[in-house]
Amino acid sequence: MEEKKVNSFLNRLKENAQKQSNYGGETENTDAQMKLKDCPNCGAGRAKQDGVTHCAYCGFEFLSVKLTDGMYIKKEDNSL
Amino acid sequence: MFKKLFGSLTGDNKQENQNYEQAQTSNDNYENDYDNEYQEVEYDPETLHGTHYSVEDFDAEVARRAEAWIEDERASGENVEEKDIQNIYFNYRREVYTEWNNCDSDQMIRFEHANSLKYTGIQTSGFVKVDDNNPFLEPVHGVDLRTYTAMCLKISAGVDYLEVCKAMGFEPIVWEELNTIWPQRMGEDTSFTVTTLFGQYYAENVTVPQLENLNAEISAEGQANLDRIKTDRYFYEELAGARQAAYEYGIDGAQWILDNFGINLADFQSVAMQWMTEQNQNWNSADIIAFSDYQQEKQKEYAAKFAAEQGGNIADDVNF
Amino acid sequence: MFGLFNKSKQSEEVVPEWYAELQESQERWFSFLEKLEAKMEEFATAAIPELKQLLEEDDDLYKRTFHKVYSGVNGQLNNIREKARDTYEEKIISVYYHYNSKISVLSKHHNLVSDFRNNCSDRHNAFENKYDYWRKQIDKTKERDLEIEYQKILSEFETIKDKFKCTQCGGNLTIDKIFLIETYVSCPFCQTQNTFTPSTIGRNLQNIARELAEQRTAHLKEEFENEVDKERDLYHEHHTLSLSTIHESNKSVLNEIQIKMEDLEKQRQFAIQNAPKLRQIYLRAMYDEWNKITPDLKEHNEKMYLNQLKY
Repeated sequence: MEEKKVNSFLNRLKENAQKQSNYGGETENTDAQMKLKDCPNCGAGRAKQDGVTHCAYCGFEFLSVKLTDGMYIKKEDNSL
Repeated sequence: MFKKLFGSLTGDNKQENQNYEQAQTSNDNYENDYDNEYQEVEYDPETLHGTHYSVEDFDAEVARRAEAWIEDERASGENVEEKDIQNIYFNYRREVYTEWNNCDSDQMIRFEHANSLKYTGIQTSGFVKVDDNNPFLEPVHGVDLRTYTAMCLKISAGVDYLEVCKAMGFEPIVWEELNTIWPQRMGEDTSFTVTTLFGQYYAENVTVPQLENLNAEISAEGQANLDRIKTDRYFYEELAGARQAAYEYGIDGAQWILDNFGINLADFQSVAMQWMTEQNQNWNSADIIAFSDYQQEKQKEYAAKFAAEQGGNIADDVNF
Repeated sequence: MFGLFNKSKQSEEVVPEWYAELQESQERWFSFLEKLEAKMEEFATAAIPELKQLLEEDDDLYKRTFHKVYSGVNGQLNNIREKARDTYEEKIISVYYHYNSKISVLSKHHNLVSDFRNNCSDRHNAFENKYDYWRKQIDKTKERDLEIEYQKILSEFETIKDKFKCTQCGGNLTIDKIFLIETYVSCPFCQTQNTFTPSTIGRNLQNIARELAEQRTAHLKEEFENEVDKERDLYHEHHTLSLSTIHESNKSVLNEIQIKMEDLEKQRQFAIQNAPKLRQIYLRAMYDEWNKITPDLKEHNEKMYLNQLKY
């Protein structure tokens, strides 16, 4: 009878844990991706030398911030 | 118990400060010593030093007593390390402060909180002042700590991070950088200014104009509960106790609070920080103990409820 | 177990009446803890394989189902521990105080009262040690071989690094390292900035890096911790020897002890000096490993290393 109590407790613990939804939702396993963001205004792509914050052709603002030296993005990535 | 409380309530980042906590003495001693001859002392609102002496005199007196003690220790062959020196200064600061201001230990702790950066190099929530020259507080990609906190609040409240990025006017790539660099700075800053300030903003539930219209869904009941934990400390303590009990029974407390009271994690943590900050600023040990006892009592009640739902605790049938 | 009181019985000719109550309380206490220990063992041994299996099967990125159950298992152990503590206060300490205030310390029977407390408290400590033991065993279920996960990340990287083409011109893009977060990758042919998003597997590198580095340098950490323990052991050995001199009058024996004590003190001083050095060796090696695993975090990690050296 003792044995039973321990096992049934563990089973209920597991069941409840599986039943309860995870805060913030379920995680999905996604694959690596490569995407391109064209200028929604004129359709041009962003070339490395033109920076990533503004469209070199029509001036559309891709990023409304001034980039500093971060993890991979650097100051040089600001458009002139 | 008071010792444990002191450590856990002044902030989450005080591990480094542990050798100071050990010096914590019972409040009763001070009360016995000073109760009868208590008299009004005027305090400087900023430093909480008594106005009847100068800060320089205070620091000099502490140094005089501490150095004499250290010299004594060394003369008797003791190996006095940096850690010990800090402890000695810490204790004499308490001694001189209570002596000169003739105050109880609550006032002394309020004084310590107001001066923690100066004397121990560690910030206390509710007392951080923003210094524009602090390199740790320089904006990352133009986003300052306040704005970063506002974004975090929205995301942990349940707003999709893509929505938050859109409202801020940048691609998610920028958010990923922010969410790497700000936490890195929190780790690097040994004064805990970044972490503590983040907590203060969190407690204020800060927002920025770009994010004002982005709100996580909240039910009418949830809103009512949220308003109540903000104003009714006992209700807050009850939910905090319930949340703790939930974890002990294999239930995610954050999700449980959302399911049963309609309050999301961001709002709950924000209110928790609010109470903690308020408590640091108006340190009162009797209240703190009363609230903590209440929370424990509630935690026990909820634990009994969860246990019943699980078919009892496994050792229920063992009796003395 | 029932022979516990024989010794004191023999030394006291007349055993006071109240002694039976102490005796009964102690016996009950011992058997109560024995039953709790059996429960704890039964529960933990059943939970450990379940937890290990859950960790393996949990598809969630943060292993949240595992963590919930883990927390519930610890909750029960804690519940058992609290039960013992509460009972100790209620059934043992209160009885002790009752008799301690009734029986004068000068009474020849007072030692029965203090023995009662000591026996019960020692038994409680033994129980606490068992609790710690099972807590540690439960903790261990969190451990997993991170080399396996690391290999998964590396082989995933091999399969994707040359897989992408520029979305603009179709030219081949090479991913030259494991990116921890999203980043722009510019096309070597048309210069267009593409946005690279790492996979869930790739992102996991950042989560496991430190623990993996710690696993790889665990032996160095142990060496450091052993040195700290050694200092304590030497201190206690020294202390025991110094106590032994109190009742010793033989000069040559005293002299011998003195020499031994000096030697122990020398060793202890060495351990005091050596421990921080071993700590630094461990930390340096751990951070070096960490930097090897995630070179992109090196700048940050080096700051963390310097901070850690200070504390």
